[in-house]
Amino acid sequence: MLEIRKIYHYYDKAKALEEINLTVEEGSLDAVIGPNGAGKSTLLRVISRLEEPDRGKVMFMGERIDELEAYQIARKGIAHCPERRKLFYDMSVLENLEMGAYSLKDKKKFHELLNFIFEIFPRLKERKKQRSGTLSGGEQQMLAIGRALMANPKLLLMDEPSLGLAPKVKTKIFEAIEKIKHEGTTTLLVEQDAVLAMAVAENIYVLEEGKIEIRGTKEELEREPRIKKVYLGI
Amino acid sequence: MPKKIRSKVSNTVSGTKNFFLGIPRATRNLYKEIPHQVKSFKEWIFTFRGSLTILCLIGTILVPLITMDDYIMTILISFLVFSIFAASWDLLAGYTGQVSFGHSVFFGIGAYVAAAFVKMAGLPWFFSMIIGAVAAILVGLIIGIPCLRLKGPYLALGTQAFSLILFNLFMSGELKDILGSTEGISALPAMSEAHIVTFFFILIIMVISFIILTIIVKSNIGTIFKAIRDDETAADASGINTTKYKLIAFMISGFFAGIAGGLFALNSRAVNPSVFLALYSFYAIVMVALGGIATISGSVVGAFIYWVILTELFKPMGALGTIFLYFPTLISALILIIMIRFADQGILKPALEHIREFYDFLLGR
Amino acid sequence: MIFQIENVLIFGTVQGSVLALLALGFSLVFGVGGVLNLGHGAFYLITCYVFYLIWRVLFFDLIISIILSLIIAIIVGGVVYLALIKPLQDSHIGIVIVTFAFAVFMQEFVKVIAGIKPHYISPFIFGSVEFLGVTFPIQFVFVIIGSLILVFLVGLFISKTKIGKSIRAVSQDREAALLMGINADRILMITVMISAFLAGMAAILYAPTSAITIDMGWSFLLSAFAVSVFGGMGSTSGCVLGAFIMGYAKTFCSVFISPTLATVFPLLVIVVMLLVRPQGLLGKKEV
Repeated sequence: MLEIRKIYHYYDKAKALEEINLTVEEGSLDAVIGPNGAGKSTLLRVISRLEEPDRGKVMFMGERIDELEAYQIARKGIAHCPERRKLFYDMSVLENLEMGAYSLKDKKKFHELLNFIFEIFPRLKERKKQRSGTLSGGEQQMLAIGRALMANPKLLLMDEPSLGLAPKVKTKIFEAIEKIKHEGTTTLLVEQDAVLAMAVAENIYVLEEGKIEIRGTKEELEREPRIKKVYLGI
Repeated sequence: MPKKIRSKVSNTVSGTKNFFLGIPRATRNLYKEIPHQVKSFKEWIFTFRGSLTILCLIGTILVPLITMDDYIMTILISFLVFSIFAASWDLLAGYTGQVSFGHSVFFGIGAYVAAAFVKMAGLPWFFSMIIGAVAAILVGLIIGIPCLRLKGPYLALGTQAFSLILFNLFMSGELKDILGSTEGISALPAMSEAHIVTFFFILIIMVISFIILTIIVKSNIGTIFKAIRDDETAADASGINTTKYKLIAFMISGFFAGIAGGLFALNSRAVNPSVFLALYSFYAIVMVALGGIATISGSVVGAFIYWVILTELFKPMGALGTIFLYFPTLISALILIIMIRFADQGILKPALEHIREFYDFLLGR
Repeated sequence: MIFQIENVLIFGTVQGSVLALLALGFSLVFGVGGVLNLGHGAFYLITCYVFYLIWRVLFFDLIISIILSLIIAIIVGGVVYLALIKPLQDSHIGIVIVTFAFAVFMQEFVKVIAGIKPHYISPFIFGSVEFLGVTFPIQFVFVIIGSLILVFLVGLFISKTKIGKSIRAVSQDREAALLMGINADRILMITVMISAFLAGMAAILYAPTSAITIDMGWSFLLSAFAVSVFGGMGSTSGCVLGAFIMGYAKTFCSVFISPTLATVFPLLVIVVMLLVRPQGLLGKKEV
């Protein structure tokens, strides 16, 4: 569904991504793990064209998308749930969700999605009218995921959903991610917490210093000694 | 589709520092400074820049001397005066990155104070001019201190607010006795009996001003100014007292703008509140843009293009209708837009490159 | 003395209404694009002269003249966006310079067409009203009511409609808005056009009360800037509140202290606010 070929990206002269190749199959949940500053977020930003790749191609459903503008990519069905959530803090929870459904034309689908989101995140339903800036960190993350889902995306990009959350809340968020996976939404997850990521993901990419160092299925990686030592702490 | 579609977001996130006045920095370095160091004046004369400068200077001296034409001198005087004004803006905006839209404040204060001292205290014009310039320094401090916190567009509008404050104060009927209201100060004594002498006085002042300004921008202070312009945070981090140097830039710039204003008032023998208008700040900006930003010498070219070529081009048509007299400003506004959009190099540098190639060819280098 | 307080009340409301219209557009454009549009005063200037031309010189019907002038103002806004703001979006200082050049250009252009003499647009309806013992021209009623309606409509527009919500989204977080599929460039263009429309409305309502001159764009630009800075750049409610406070304060100065101080007042506010509270009364964005 999503195919990334030989992507290079530089910030001024500092290398952020180097020869990234990555494929996400329809219906799967893949994760990119790696330490801070490895270029994980940059990778997602390049896919949704918040950053312009310096070289390489991004294909989505057989179509080249790296020359489109960010909003056009969003309209193609790629929803990006950005790092640090980036909610519309002066808007209410409901308004944020409405903004998520900006390019969704179908009214019926809108209510369906809204119900689904309120089902997996009941807290949001309680706080429908509240200004999103006043929500707690976990609730804000739920809202960010919900907002991305409201676009009824074909591909969901999730950037560090567990960032800065208490372990209990983290588990909640990942339970929701599990549910989203069961709904059949293709997801590319970027996560620093390797244990959590490997619990939900099928294919895993390890990104270090802008390069994909290790790739493989969950089972393959669990056997990898370096992964065990560095990321899983076993 | 070509790869022309820019990602605006990526530019604001990662590339802001690579842009100055809307143009990628990389292209700004296309035309490099002369590589070899010039040691003495004698050597300088024989460099490309030196000989060109001397040639222009000789031309400016000879033309009025030969023709002794008052009209030509009048045109040249406004060209000289405004080239100082433009260069002072260039030092502040082009070199230090403090884009001020209220430069007419310095010009106006210099003009008013010089005029007042000549008229009321009967001081010789030269001393009045210096006092006016010192007053402009003080105003530079007064404006500089509050504006230090402001960045980019805010500085531009903030300084413009100052110029409008002064315009309104000097226009005001209530302060008529002190500031002269709409009439301003008029009937000043002439700078000298013969027009040609006045012309040479102004020429000398202009040449000295340019020498000083060039020395400043080539010195350590100039390097610090450029560091502040390119990356203020980095300059701050590397131990430069940016506040101090920004104030110094405001003061130097104010001084020379004040000299220009003083000369303007003394030469036209009158001054009125319109010198504080945004139009005068616009003159400075457009002249610098024409000549090339951050090239003190470019101001001369810009001033020449505006005050000699553009203004004189439309003056004959003034007889057909007064509307043509407004054309220079109208057209230069258009030119400014086009310059900022497409060519921030100005006219001087690319033209110099071509002339220099020809010069090198002549000398067989 | 009491009589004068009533003067302040009425003339201050008029001033505040005009300032609200001007500042609202200016502030919205800043919020959405982070752009200081120095051509904002020129929108006012152009509409004044276009309105004068269509209504007083070509003798069109009043309503038609108003509509035509507004359409032209909106077109000018669109052109300013496409020709000046969009290509320079990476450089805010570049935008400031080109919009400044645009303002000078328009001023000179109007000078060429209409000359430097002031012109007078007559009020929609002649006559005066007496209210609270103060007599004032009927046009003031148009200004106040027109402005209140427009401010209300703009508020409704940005809180309820899809485009309005997008405007808010882009001004709160441009990146996130892009990720929602919002074409932020188009939203900025619409916002610039709205700001031109509001400035045009201010011109049509207020210009008939006094002479129109070629250099009035600057003081209106700086008033709009002053109010936006005062109320907080990008904050609509702060802007309207700031406009009325400024209107009353200006009139108060003019009546009780000195008319000169009143003209300088907004400019002093700019300087003081930028120094003391750069985020404005209700604003959140740092300057």
